[in-house]
Amino acid sequence: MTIPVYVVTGFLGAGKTTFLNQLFDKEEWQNIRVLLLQFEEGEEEAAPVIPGCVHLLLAEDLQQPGGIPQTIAQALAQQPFDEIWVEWNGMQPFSLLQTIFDDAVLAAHCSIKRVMHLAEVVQVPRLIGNTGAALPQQIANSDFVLLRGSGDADRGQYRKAKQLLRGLNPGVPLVHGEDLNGVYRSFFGKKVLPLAPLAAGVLALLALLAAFWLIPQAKDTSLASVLTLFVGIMLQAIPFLTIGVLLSSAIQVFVPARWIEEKFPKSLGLGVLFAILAGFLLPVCDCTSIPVFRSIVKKGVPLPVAITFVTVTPVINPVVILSTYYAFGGDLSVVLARVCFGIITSILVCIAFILWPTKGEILSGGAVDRMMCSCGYYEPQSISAGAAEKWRLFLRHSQAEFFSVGKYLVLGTLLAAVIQVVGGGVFFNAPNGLGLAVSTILLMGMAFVLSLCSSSDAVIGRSLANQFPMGAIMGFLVFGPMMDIKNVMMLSSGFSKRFILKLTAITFTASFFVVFLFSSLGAI
Amino acid sequence: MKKTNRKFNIQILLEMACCFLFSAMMVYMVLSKQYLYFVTPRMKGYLYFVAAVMLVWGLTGVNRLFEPQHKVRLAHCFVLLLPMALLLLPLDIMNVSKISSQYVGKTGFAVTAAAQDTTATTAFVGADSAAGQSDSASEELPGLDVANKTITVDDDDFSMWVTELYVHMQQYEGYTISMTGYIFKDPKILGEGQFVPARLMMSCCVADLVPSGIVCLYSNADILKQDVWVTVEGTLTVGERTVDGFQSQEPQIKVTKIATAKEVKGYVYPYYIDG
Repeated sequence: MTIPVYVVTGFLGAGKTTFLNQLFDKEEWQNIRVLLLQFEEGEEEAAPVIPGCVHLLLAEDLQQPGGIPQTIAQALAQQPFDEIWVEWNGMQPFSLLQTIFDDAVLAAHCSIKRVMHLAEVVQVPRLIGNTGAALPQQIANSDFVLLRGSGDADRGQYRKAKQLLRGLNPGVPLVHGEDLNGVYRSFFGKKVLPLAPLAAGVLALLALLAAFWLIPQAKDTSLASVLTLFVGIMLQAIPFLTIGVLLSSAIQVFVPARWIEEKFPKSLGLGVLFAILAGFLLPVCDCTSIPVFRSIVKKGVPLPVAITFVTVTPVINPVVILSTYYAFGGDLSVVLARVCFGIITSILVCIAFILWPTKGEILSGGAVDRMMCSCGYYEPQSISAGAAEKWRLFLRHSQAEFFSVGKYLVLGTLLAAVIQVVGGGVFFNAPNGLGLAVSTILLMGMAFVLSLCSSSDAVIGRSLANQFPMGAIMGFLVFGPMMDIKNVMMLSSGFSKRFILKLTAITFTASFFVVFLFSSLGAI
Repeated sequence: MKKTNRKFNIQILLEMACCFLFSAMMVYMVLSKQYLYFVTPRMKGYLYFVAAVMLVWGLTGVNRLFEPQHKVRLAHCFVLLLPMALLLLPLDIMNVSKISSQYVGKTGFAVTAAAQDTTATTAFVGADSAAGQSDSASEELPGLDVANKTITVDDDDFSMWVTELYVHMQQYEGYTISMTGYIFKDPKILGEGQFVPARLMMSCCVADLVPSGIVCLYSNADILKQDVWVTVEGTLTVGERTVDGFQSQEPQIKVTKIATAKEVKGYVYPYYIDG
């Protein structure tokens, strides 16, 4: 029988030893034969009060971890144990502990069963991102987090800590303070296999497929329309998302932050010009520009410049220009107006962000995001890595990013498909002859909820031309690609809610202002 | 090399399986042309590209199959599993009556309805000849019989002909034309005695389907039933349309004969994508 290994992780001084001493200081531990492995020498000495406990201090051995499995194996050979408890070193990556227990001399005898991370609410934001890659990796690998000091912290601090922990380990259960029952349940309760929800989901999908194949009437339901729209938008978006994550990962892995610091235009004006030029040249849509946006922000490109890039690219790229040209029957004035309004709007948004800089952290992962990739891998990305290593990292990073942004794309697309089917009529059935302001706002709202790809919205825009004035159509064509439900969802894979809200509001206001002003002046 | 106990990493295994399956699925969609039910022919290359990237991502997993990992995550695989499963739905799920009754496409009427003034039309012609489509080239268009002044629009050339007729409407005045589409009537766009034998046009994906076609003049248009497939025969003429204060010209068909037709499967695409 394999001996279960229970692991306690946490940064230096988190109180791991104290926790273990408290845990073992209970009646029920008296008859349990525990092997306690301590990989860190803390302020408090481990003094387990259990009679049969064997205590190994392995902190020094971490200098040369190769010998550790042998040392543990020897201890196991000397006498039988019921459980192994590990106090892991706060500065060491979790993967090292796994390597130790995966060693052939140990793997047959024991295996890691549960991992707890111990953290103090007020310390979480201070530590994460400032103390290297080991801590985030420990958090990401924990089965639950014991969060101490939530009583002393205010709600803001608690929310921040929770957001950071869940950002690294989505959905991780949090056990509070002195809740020893919770700790017991989390350590010894039944583990829910992640396979179970997966299997349930797959079964549900199969049932859905069967229903559509077996019941002919199912095709006439609104659900059928929602699903078709969903597949259509996904099939259109996935290639562009793929290009997006490849580009952003290439920036992430191959372009050192120092290079951006040195080479990127220092003056904002030049930077903005560069961003607009990049938008012109890249034949990509919003599914591509959002991952790229995140990676350039991480690399230290000034935020207003990055915002210019992300807002202007989907409006003025060559594919959009071409599709607008054809959709409007070769009317160059429409193409020109769309491009110019797009550029002016994005510059206005840029200026707004210069005048009202965003306070606080805009990347939802906080400092962690800046330091390393948030794709779930915490290997230190050393700049000195060889070419082969970089390529490996690039592929791995891009795949992980595809899944992480893809999740939000799926949600956004589903939402957009439902709204199109259920609520599209609200816009299309609007009475003719509304004023310019009202119809512009209406069509901008419509562009937001429809979440059309920027290379197709020109056709829809044109088909609206019998109902609405040209100025309102421009609102649809300028604001739609910059911001819609799908984009908001994709942005939330990496940015804070407050920032996304601000960006949406400013973009809306700016594009309305530009479109309304110029069409009132008779520019289109 | 140090001996370790190699445990299978189920997350990597599932990610690999999803990538390989998705890659195969994309290739199958393109080869079987089923992707055309959801996106335009323009996406063909992009879908092959995705298939290639997925294949590479899947292959990189091979080296990592035994990578130790305590916390296993699987839910993110639905990003690929969900579209894959839904691609297996019956393909005829989207039909004409749904478009005209339910959502986005509703008011859309792609080619005829926009506020075109005459300068716009000229611009289009100019652009077209710049693209190498001079007027003389028109004589080689499929279904065109200059000697007998007839145009027989094949179902595959629908979009091409609609574009061609808009660009060179004067040139084809007086020609006899026959084309197949479903009856589309919308009082917001079309006047009395008018209907369009329309096909659904996709410019990006199935979410942006709009009816497209040439306006027909037919005194008994009111008795025609919406969404019924017909083959229309008639004489081409140049008509006028006023939208939002702008007057513009458009090709129209004076109908001489209408016959019910078999439903034409599949969508049409803007000519610039199609060609």
